[in-house]
Amino acid sequence: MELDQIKKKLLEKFYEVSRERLQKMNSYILSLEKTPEDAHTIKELMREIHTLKGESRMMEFAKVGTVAHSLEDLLKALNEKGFKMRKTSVDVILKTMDTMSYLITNGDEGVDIDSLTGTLSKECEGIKKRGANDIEEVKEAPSTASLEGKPVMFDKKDVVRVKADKLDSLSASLGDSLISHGGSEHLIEELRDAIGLFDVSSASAREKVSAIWGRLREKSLEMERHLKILDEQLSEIRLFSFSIVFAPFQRMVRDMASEAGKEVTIIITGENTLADRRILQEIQDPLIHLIKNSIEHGVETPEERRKAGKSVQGRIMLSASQKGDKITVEVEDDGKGIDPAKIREVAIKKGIITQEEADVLSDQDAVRLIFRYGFTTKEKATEFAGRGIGMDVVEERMRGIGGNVEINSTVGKGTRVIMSFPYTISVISVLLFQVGKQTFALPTYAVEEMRKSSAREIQKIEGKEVIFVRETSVPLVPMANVLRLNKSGNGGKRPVLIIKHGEDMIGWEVESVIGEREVVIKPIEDYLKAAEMYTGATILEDGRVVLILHPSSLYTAGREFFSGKRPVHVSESIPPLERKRKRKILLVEDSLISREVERGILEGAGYDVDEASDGLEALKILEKKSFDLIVTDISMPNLDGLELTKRIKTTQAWKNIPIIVVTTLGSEEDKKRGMDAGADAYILKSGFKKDELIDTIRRLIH
Amino acid sequence: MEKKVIVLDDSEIALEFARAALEKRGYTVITCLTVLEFERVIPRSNANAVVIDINMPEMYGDDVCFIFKDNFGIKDTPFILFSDIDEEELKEKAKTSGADAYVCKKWGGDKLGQVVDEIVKNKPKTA
Repeated sequence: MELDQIKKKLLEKFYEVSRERLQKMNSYILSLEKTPEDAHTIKELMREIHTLKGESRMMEFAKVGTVAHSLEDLLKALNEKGFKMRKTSVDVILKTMDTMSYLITNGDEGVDIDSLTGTLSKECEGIKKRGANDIEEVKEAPSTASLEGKPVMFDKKDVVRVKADKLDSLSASLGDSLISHGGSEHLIEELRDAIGLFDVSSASAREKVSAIWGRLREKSLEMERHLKILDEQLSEIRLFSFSIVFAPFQRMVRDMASEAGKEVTIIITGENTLADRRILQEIQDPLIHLIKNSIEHGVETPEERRKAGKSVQGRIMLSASQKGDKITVEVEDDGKGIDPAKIREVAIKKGIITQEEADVLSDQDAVRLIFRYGFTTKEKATEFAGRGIGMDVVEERMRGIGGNVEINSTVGKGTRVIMSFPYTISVISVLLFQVGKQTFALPTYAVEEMRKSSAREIQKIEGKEVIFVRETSVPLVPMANVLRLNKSGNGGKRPVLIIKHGEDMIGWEVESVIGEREVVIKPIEDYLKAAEMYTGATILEDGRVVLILHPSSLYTAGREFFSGKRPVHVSESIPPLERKRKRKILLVEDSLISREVERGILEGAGYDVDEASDGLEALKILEKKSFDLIVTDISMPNLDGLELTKRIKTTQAWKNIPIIVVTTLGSEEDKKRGMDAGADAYILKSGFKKDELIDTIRRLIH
Repeated sequence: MEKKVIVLDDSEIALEFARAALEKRGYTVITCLTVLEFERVIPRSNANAVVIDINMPEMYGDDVCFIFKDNFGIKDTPFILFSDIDEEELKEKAKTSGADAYVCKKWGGDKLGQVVDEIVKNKPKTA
């Protein structure tokens, strides 16, 4: 292989290892700033810069090599003096590493490094002149050359990330294989029953088919084993340690604190905990935000801390830990805490809650308000603001990976944010159960306990039902009411799921419990997530789509219901027309998941629903059956929603059927096209609310 | 008869460069990223030459040379130190550790190849 080819082949490797080396050097420098006498760290640091220099030269990143060489000289000079660094030295070194990172990531063409190497050699000379213990600050700080201040965490050129994308699609394919396999298992069972139908006279045929059935079943079980092994191995490959995400914080905290005029150290534990790579990526931004919040709003200035009798230096603890299939990441600071009174005040001012609501809100619930959309105050423009996201997004991100976030704060003592989520997200274990004749799922990690309660065990306190879990009274909420489904009656013992949320619990009454399953989560579109409390959906062996409930949204809804804030379920307010005849709705939507969610909403409101996956199929169904109303998506294969609307509205037999168009297309132009085609109503997916759909239907057909 | 060279370096990049340079000259190259790996490979390898980096996390390359040459029945296997520390220092380390030759990394892979060629030619394996 020629040299150029080798370089090309090694380029991605080089990006990867150089980033790791720079990251390690960053933490070594920061640790040496605190404990300069740590000989092991010095040795490691010297080795990393030396190797990076060599590798850069081999890869012909000439400018990186030159900068690395100057930096190595500077570090050698520091080493001679016992590695006692002035703050200016630390700054120069850190900025130099940023520049190297920039040069490696973006190429060094046209970048002038002379001023940087000049600064480095000037600093180096300065150090050489110093005595071993002379670390007093010089008046004139050397200028620092920096091209890019932000440390590189996940970069576009990161080879692992590209592979992770492929891993994602691999996981998805495997998930689909598992489902298909489940489907064939199902058919094998059906085949066995069908064999029983053979006539007695064809005993030999029956025997033959039975034998084939036996072999088929064996092969199928074999395949199941292989798929399971594949699944385990794949999940393992997808696991990475939190150190990738945690490591840059040493540096970031230092920078952010000095920008905010505060003194803060960060203590990181549990960085070897493993999690699915996508989870690590998802948690990165929320962590930056939480830590930034702690520094800017939590930790006090040194002056304030001294007055409060605290150590001058603030402390942030960042930790990760795993328990069962659940991971907990905590960010805790010893700052001034969050004042519930202030939160109430801001929330009222912003119209998030009313004065009356604020009055009855517990302090802990008040603090939780910061997760509400629109609460976070406008970010101050700091270097890190570009990455800034609101607290509402922290909760949203957690929900996206099937987790939740909790906050505890004590005024004057500090704030602790606890995020919990499953450690792998491709396959999760759920508990299946039935409510209102529909099947739902909840992640098993959220289910504390499952029991059947007789009327005797259920008590009433102040007119509200509670059950006792280890001597604690727990609110009992019928899930059908919160999901707004019709409760189908059942006497005798009622199955109750005890769901834990932080320290709090709610007992959920369901109709029946089906059992535990390992399922592959399929994402559902955001607009449906906003309208409902689902974290995803899954497809069962028999092809049924089951929605997975989000434990913490469910908790909030349950609390609201229990305290009487949530309106009673919708079917009670539907005029009693359905008793005469159930209204029939044709639902046309090409996305399987969206279709199932919408169907759930419609059936929950008491309608009879037929489904079509595109316009053509819809027309075929219309030929055979009559409907009271049609709900259709716009973009679909074969025949889109607009064309479908046009055809229906120009056909004598169908033109009076009201049509509701539900779509993501949001411009006035699109709306006009929809209306021109003859649609009776137009609902945007972005503003989709369950009630809006139901209200519109009722407006059109009741 | 195939000629085998073992290369020990903690940088994957450097290993691949050395591999390319040596494979071009017809050698079979075994690469080791850690001293542990090297320790496992060396006794049964029948290597014609060993190329070692100096600056490594577990042990310095000259120490590896000094210890392994004496203790693994490979006294006659030529060791070449391959590093980018200063030439003078590298020369000194080669002398004190009993290495047979040294090559500065900045001289390039071709130079490494030439030196390995020469050494393998002059020191036919006895074992």
